[in-house]
Amino acid sequence: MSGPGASSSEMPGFPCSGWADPELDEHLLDTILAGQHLVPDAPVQAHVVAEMLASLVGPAGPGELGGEASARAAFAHAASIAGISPAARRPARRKPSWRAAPIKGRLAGVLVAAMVGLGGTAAAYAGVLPSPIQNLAHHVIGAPASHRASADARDRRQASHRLCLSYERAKTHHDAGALASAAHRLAIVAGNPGKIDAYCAAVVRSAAAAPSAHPAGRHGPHPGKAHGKAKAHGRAKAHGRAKAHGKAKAHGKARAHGKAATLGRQDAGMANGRANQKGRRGR
Amino acid sequence: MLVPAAAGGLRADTGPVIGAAFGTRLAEAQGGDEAAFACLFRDVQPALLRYLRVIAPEAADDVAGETWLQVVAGLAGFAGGEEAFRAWLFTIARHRAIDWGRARGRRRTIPLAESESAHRLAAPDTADLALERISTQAVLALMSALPPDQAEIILLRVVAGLDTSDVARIVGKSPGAVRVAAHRGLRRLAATVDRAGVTP
Repeated sequence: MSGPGASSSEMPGFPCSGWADPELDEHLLDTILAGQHLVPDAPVQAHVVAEMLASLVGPAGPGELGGEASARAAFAHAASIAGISPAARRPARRKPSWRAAPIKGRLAGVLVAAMVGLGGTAAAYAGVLPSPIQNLAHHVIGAPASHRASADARDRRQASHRLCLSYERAKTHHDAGALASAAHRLAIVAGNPGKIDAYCAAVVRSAAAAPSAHPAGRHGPHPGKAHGKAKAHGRAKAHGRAKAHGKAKAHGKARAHGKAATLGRQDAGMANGRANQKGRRGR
Repeated sequence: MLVPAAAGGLRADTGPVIGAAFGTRLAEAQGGDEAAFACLFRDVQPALLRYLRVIAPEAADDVAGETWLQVVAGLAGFAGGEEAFRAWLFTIARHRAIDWGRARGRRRTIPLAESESAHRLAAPDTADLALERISTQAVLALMSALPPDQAEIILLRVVAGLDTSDVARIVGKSPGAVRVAAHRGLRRLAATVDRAGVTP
């Protein structure tokens, strides 16, 4: 198969043996960029890339609104200087957070610096990447494999179960769009379209037998997945929910650390920027 | 999950999110209403951080903070709709990220190649992609493995929700060049997925 895709010589970062250019024409790519629905018979790669991009615009995750207090404080301060805000009449209200932020920020900055110093950006990523990503990174470029397999397998089992349920629901309600989408995904997870029914039957059986059993997913009904890894079961209806699982269960500790540092960094950023602003105003 | 938007799109949280109320929120914020400003902040901050995590990975939060301070300082003089607001804000963010890159270049003693190799860590797991379990952070890490101009353009289109002409203005390229770069980036992502075992 040879599409109008990038040639292998354009991809120095990836070893190029054994894969074909996906047939993604410009119209299809524009459709993906615009976030519009793809036709169900578009190449699987197109669906997957579209879903990856969709995951980039999901709801705010933990820490992503952490700078709000500092931003609001900066806003209230600016408004009070301009004399346009009720804050102008009570300027003392914000003072404690103005003083506190740089200290908190410096502390977080030290933590982040220590983390970066110990292992570079790779360590920072290793702490926040979900283990499946680490596992594939291991598969693709030889990065260390994840040791969080069992909690992750549980997530997958639940995700697979949900996907099978929505597949069945789509069949029952004759919802062609939802059916095509679920079938695409299940074909990937199950190995091929002919294995979907058997796969889902096994997933549902497994879910009924072990509703909260520990790493059952690792030995779950996954017929011959590419990497010989546990590819268990489930379906993620909502990105947000699936992500929450991954964070809370598989990476709770690393996330918590990351979040604390991130919040601090945001405050530090505000504080630094604020100092700059003040400097600029002073000039 | 991909949430079908009213216009038939897949995106849940991109583009004009505040929508019709944006003009009112902006006017209130310009009048000093902190709650209205917080509404603007929450609308854009996740997108801003995701963009910065790829283009200024070690300083995303700092650069975001500086961006908001500049936005606060210039808010009273801003006029335009929600897309124009986002375009303005991401223009500021890009400039601050470039400043950060220059400052880092002056300060840095560790070879830059180190962080580049770190960015090549990520690739998505096929089954997770299929199960929609791939997280925002994982995709951002994957985006970091793309050539920087391609990654930035895709992020501005998708995460910031800007159209090709806005992105072209922001990155200083022609709309045609922006479109080509975005296509190349998407094809690379697709090729990664393909290599990971997703074949029809």
